[in-house]
Amino acid sequence: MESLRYTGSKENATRETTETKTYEDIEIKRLVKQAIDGDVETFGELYGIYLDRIYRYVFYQVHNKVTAEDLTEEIFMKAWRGIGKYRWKGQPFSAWLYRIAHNHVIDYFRTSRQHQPLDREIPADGDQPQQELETKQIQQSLLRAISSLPQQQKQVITLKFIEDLDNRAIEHIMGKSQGAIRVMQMRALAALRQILNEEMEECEPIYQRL
Amino acid sequence: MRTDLSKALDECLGRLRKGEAVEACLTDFPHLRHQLEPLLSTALSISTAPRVSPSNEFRTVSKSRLMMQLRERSNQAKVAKQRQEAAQPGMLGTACRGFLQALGRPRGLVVPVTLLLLIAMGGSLFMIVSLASPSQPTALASQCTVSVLSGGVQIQIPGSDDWQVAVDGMTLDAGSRVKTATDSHAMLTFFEGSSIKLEPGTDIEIQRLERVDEHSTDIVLKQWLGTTWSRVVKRLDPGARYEIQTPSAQALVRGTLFEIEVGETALTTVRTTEGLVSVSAQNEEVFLPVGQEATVEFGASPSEPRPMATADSELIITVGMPAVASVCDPTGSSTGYLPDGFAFNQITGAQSTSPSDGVQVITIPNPVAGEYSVVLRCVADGTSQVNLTYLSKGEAVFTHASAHEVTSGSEWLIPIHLEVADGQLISATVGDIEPLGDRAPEKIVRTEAVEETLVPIEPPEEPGQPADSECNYALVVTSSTGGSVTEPGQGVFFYRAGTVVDLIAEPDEGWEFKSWTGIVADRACPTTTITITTVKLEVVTAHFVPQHSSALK
Repeated sequence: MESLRYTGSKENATRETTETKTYEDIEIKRLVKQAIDGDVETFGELYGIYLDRIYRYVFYQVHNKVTAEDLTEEIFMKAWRGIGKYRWKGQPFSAWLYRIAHNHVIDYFRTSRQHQPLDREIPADGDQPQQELETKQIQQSLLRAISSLPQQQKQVITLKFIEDLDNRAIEHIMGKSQGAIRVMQMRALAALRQILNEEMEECEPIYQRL
Repeated sequence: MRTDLSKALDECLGRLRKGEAVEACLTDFPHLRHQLEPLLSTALSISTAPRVSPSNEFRTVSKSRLMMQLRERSNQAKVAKQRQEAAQPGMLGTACRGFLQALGRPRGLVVPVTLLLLIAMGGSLFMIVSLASPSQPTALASQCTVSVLSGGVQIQIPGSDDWQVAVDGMTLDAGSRVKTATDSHAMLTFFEGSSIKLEPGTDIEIQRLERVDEHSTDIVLKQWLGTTWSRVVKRLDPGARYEIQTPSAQALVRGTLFEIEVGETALTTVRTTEGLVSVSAQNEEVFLPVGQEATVEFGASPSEPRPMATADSELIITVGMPAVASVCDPTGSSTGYLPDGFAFNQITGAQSTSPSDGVQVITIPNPVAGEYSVVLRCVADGTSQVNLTYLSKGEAVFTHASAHEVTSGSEWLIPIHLEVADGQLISATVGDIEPLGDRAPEKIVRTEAVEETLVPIEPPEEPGQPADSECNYALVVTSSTGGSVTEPGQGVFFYRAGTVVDLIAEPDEGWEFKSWTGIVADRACPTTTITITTVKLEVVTAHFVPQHSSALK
């Protein structure tokens, strides 16, 4: 798994993990410094570390696999172009990347680009194990519920509960105060609760069995 | 109160994050319990949802694409810096040395090979530098047309970093970039009639599109990643150029069918199906005639040409006059002819003989599963013979023959459904022939330059007979790995009925001849004959085994 799960017993994450390697905070700083100095190969390593997270964040905003792939590539190109100006100011590098992703997704929705149809199913990764039908239906319900939220609530839900970021990082990414973030997450959870309750009433036998 | 709730919720979420139980948190906020509990429950259900991840294919392809772009940008930045330094008096020598040293580094620096050639010719630094910026084409005099064959295709116009959805039929200028998704195919057609097909996961940049004069054209493409299939119109003018650069090599052609594959590590493979391709890298050049391939690793010279691996399977469609045929595959690509003589070939590795030969043979290597359409357009009244053969490792595992009474101007479609798994044919279904109607299965772009050169397919002199009524029986000659048929060679040959054809099979070093399949005179003898009958299509295959395998029996 890529990073520590929200429900596990943990401190705030100080590690980044890819499939094969765990990076300590200090190692991330070293890689970032090399990338700032123009080391292309090191930036490629950072790409591998953060690709999944940025892709996931983008996917939950746009709900289309092809669009998420394209935007993710564009985000990393922007990151490369701007990395010379990055400074470690107490926020992790990931927060800086998410900020770029956040702004890029906003630009995407603002432009007159032709919007792709929403993916109705979670994209399948060939290496993932087969899901039980009922569990997958719940996953699909969550995805549909999140996709129906207003944009900012969707972002808070994604950053806080799917990407496991703390409020300070989210404050930096979204450019909102912590108070505003607290209120948004409350409203978002309440809205999700209502949507899921409505779906549960339609599909009660599935939830009861689980 | 709402402020209390949002703060209490945030505090509880923080405590849950640290591993505290939900009940412990709720105990501390008894007055908000009934509001907090459902919100915390929802938060927990979100956190337990499985993570969405990009596909492994996207991970690999996108990283390769990103790294190539970054290396190119880095190279351009270094070259621009060198140019600045060279512009200062007295520093030219230093800049040259540094630049040449930079060129010598194989890693992290992508340099088009044309650059190295110009250095050898003593070109000036400025001229070299300007040509080292391939994303700044010198002239934009012509355009090419995009055909979206299937799936999602994206384009990037010059000067923009944004990708847009490609619209079928749109035109692109030099400086544009095209990429296909993991499930899409696209076609670019150039003004003089050449075309290049993009397989899934391909990324190419149009660096130059220029008509130099009335007769010669200049087409230069940069293939970053993926597989392309080029069909280049032969031009008489030696100044005409069709060139594809990759991060590792450069392929230069004059008139041919060839395939280029660029892998994740910039390994380039070039395969020639027709014509001649020159492949250059690191100041070395190899020529690839028909049936040959070469590979180029990043920073290395081209490998020696070697025979292309024979396809594990082949779909062969033969159509007799008076019908002119084309085949559309499940990806939306087509190969064949139109009655006015227009030829097109969008299926990678496919070949089609001319219908003017009397029998048109279309071969498709390694066919994919799905729906195919054989389209017949008739130039006269008569009976058209249609044969379908599926070869697996040289052996015919499926055959279908039909004869159709047709009239001049009529158009027909024969649907074929193939089920293929791991390269093996599971089933093949040939549907009933039906009128083509208003359908236009082929997605082709016709340019003015090509229109001037078309020669209509002539109907046969007598109804139901091919133009050359003597040589209208096809013999397909193939071989397995380990050798080849040197007489009459390998491919499709046409003979009159009754002809006795000599067959000679020769093994490669370390291999020995095993047997023939097909109606040859002596299956066990590498030198034998076959007598051509009135069957429209015969297939013979020479089989070889490693030399030690027979000793183990």
